[in-house]
Parts: sequence; C-alpha cells; structure tokens
Amino acid sequence: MAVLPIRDRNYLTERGLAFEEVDGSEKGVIFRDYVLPVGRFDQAKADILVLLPPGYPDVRPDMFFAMPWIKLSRSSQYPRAADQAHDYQGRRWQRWSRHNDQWRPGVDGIWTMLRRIDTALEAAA
Amino acid sequence: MTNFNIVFIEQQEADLRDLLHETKDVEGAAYVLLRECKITIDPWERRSRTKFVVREIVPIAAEHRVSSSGQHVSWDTGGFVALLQRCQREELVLAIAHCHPHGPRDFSEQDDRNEAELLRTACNRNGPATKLVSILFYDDGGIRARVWQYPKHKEDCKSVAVLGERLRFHFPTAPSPASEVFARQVLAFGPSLMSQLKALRVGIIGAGGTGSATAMLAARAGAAQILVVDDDIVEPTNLNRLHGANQSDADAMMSKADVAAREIARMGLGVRVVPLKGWANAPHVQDALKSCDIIFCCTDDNSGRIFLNRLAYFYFIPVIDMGLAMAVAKPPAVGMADISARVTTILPPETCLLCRDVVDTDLAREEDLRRRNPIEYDRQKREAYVRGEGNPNPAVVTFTTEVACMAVNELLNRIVGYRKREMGSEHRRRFLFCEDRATSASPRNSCSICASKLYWGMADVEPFLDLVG
Ligand SMILES: [Zn+2]
Ligand SMILES: [Zn+2]
Repeated sequence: MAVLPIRDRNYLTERGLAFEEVDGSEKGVIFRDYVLPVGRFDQAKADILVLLPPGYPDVRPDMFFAMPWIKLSRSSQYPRAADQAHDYQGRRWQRWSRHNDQWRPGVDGIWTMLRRIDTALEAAA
Repeated sequence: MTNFNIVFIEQQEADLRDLLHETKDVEGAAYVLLRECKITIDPWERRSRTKFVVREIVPIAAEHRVSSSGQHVSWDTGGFVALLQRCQREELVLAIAHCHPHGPRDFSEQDDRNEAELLRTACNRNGPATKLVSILFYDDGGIRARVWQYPKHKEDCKSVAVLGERLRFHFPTAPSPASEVFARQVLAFGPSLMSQLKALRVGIIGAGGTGSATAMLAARAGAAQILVVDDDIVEPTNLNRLHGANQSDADAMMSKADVAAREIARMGLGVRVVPLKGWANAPHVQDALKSCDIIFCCTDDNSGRIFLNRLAYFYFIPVIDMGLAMAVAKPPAVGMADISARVTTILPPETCLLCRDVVDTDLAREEDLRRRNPIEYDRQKREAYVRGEGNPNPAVVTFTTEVACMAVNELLNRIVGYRKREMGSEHRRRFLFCEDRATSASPRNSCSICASKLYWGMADVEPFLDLVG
C-alpha cells in the first residue's frame, strides 16, 4: 500500500535511499540505518522516522525521530530538545523537536525533510 | 451495464479541435489518453459510474496518416499499438477522436466497423478488459462519445463536459423542456441554462452560514442533484444564519446536512438531495465527491480545502471556494476593521488555493490532530507547538448569504456567460468600501499542483489525491 506521494517515492528511488512506508492510523516513513555524521554521536547509524500528517505534502511534517536513541559523543548527552519519547509501531523513539515554518506547500517534499534532518544532525554534533 | 462520462478542460478540447479541423472540410483524427475515475456508487443514481478524465491529446503522426476526405479518415495503426503499450504501463484508456465536418451528428456504419476492429487490436494487445473510447466532433460544435468493450459492446457516454471559463455539458439526447416553475428565470437566461443545471451534480461542502444559503440558492436556481456534506449538528448559536434551521432542529441535535436536505426537499422542485455527515476527506465522502460535476466549498476547514484543492486538478471538478472575513477593530479603535467576501474558482489552468494563500496548512495540521488524536493535540498545545482554537469569528446572515449569492452567480455566469467581461477566477467584495474587484495570483514557482501538469487529469491514484490520508 503506497503511503508516500509519487514525487517522494521517485526521489527516494532515484537517490537509492532505502525507505519503509508505514500505513497505520498514524502514517510514516522509516529510513533504516541512516548514516549519521562520522564520529560525532555514540552511534554510526540509526533508524530515522518521519511522521506524515494527514494532508502531507501540502501539510508539513514536523519533528523527526531516531532509534536507537542518539547521544553526542563529546558530552555523552542527548542533543538539545531530543530527550523526549514518542511511541510508534511498538517502539519508543527519540523525538527530535525540530520545527519548520518554511514549508512551501505544493513545492516541498521528502527531499526538504531529509535536508532538514541532515542539517539538524550536523548542528547537534 | 456501466455508465460513462468524459471530462475535458477547455485548453485540451481546443487543442483537439484544432487537430481535427486542421484541414478544412476534411475529416481529421487524433488520439486522446484518458484516466479513469471509478465511482462505486453515484449518490443520485445509486449505481456505479466511470468518469474518463482527459490526460493528454496525442496527434496522429503524419507518416501514419493514410487518407482522408469529407467523408472518411483512415490511418495505419502503428501509432495505435505503441500507445496501447503506454496505456498498459501508465493505466490509461485510449480514445480515438475524429470529426464529421458535414454531419452526420452520429457515428457512421463505417465508424462502427473501424472501431470494432480497433477494439479487437486493443484487446489482443492489452487483454479482454481493455476499453476503447471513441469521441466524435460534429459540425455544429457538438461532441459525443461512446465506449467499446469486448467483444463488440458499445455504449454512449451520458455526457461530455468541457470545463473552464465556461462550463459546457454536451448530451447525446435533446433536453426535456424546463418546468414552468423556472419560466421567469428562462426569460433571463434561456432554456439551455435549465437543462445544464438539471444535469449537473452539485456538491456543497459545509452547510453552515454560507453553505445552507448556497444549498437553498442552488436548488431554487434549478440544480436538480445536490449533495450536502457537513459533520456538524445545528446549535442554537447557528440559528441567526442557518437557512431553514429552527429551534427544534437545535433541540433534536439535527445534523446541518440533514436540515439542508429537508428544506430542499420541501421546496417541491424535484431536486434529488443527498445529505452526508462527515468531513470532506472521510473515505465515505470521497466517492460522493468524485461523483460531483462542480463543488461549492463553504467550509472554514483548512484540511477540507487542501483536499478539495487537489480534487479540482486531479478530477477536473471545478471548486468554487468562498470565504468571508469579518474582523472587529482592536480597541481602542471601534467598529469593523474588515468585512470582505471572496469567491475563487479553481480548475486547471487556474492558480491553486495554496498558491493563493487562502489555506492555512498549519491550521489544517492542528484541525486534523484535534480530530484524530485529542490527547496528542492537548500535549502539543501545552508545549506551544500548536496555536489552538481562537475565539469564534463574527457572523452576520446578510453577509454570509451574500457570499453564497456571489458563488452561485459565478456558476450561472460560467454556464451562460452573462458578464460583459471576464472577471478571472477570483472575485472580492469589500463591503466597507462598496467595492468589487477581480484579483489574480500566480502559481508558486514549481507548485506541483497548479504550476506543473503532473496531476492534471490524473484521476484515481494510490494514495488518493497523492496525499497522505
Ligand atoms: Zn465518422
Ligand atoms: Zn499551486
């Protein structure tokens, strides 16, 4: 069952990025073993979850979530605003509260979200 | 037995007409690629129906043309087979279009033989379930179409619609005379308005102040098939502006959609009215919305608007969206700061509601969250991630009704063209200044809905409207 819009699926396929669409009461996409910036976290890879709100991609996705939980390697602490849990699909995810007011409906898509995730990971590290 | 319609937007029909009439007095032909809109149960006919939405016009390559005259056109089927391959891959239905520059207004026996042969080729290539559509343009500007299915079954389309600045529905049979009830409206706009309105399936989303008025006006104007969608019940605070509602409806917690339907039925105008309780994006409402030929958006609901905005481009269903802004001045100033009405019609190639900034997508997010997950909504409200509901907006019946009048007049104008000049697709009335104006907006750079043709005529797709539901 397709959850993601056509342009998102095409983009991820072209980039060769593995993704898993979750079709539940709350829809989402999971990027398994997403590669984190080298040496900055206590993990090299993590699963990254993006929840897709009803109306996405016209409505912006909000935060993103990591599994396992990620700590900064320098301080052994959770990054700023990344210490809350969110239960999804039977797992307790690490919520990264990173909001975005710049979403352009009709224009932005999963590529925008991935860029934001990369930026957030870089900034945290 | 199935039940078919075809929908074009104006530019597509003009392009096709140009191809068919390239050489004067000679029959021309072209291919048309269609997408299907499968309606499980049409709310008025209570049976399934398929609407074909025009996706692309494909000329017949010069090297494939064999011969043509005033009486015939023939071409070799090389291009036909290549298109069949594409149809299978992209889930398209292939149509052949031709014209009869000197009549007849009907398919000829030669057409029957040719099309049966093409159907055979199509079924051999793509399987026995393959449909083949044939579209005929005849000399007085009329269009008719029929659908072929294995082995040689052919069935007339109930209508061929061409939608744009004008809305035109072509029917294979002559309309029945208008009821005498409408005699004085016929004096104004003639009988053809009545036959068009009678056949139109009109969706009204929201049955509040503007929606209840729109429903009453559409019915009295002669729309004979009306769908009213609303999730709310009548409350005492609505009684100052809900047309047809009374205290006992509020006491009985009647749904707004049911009240509108009851009032329309009581008019005795022969309107078939279907009330539906639910949000515009609820699954049971989707099928009914797909069935509509035109939709009035009379809701303040942002997530509903997001949904209808896409519906217009995917299915070529014109959406007449209306809004009323009434703002009380902030103290120490007194009086009204703004009273203005907006009526926007969206349909390709017009600019979409998102690019016009009339939808608040963040509010849409919050509305959905509040409906689906009130606990998470409250949590996010505490954390100040959502804005939460504000105070109720002011509402005055004369203004809500006036917006409804503007919207229904927009429909009448698109059918009969009474305006002396084009007003474009958005019309604003500023009550504080007695001022009317047409406003325009350009698509956002690379908007996937209105700036690119990605979705135009896409019809049924998974996920529905290519949107997370
Ligand atoms: Zn013919
Ligand atoms: Zn747009």
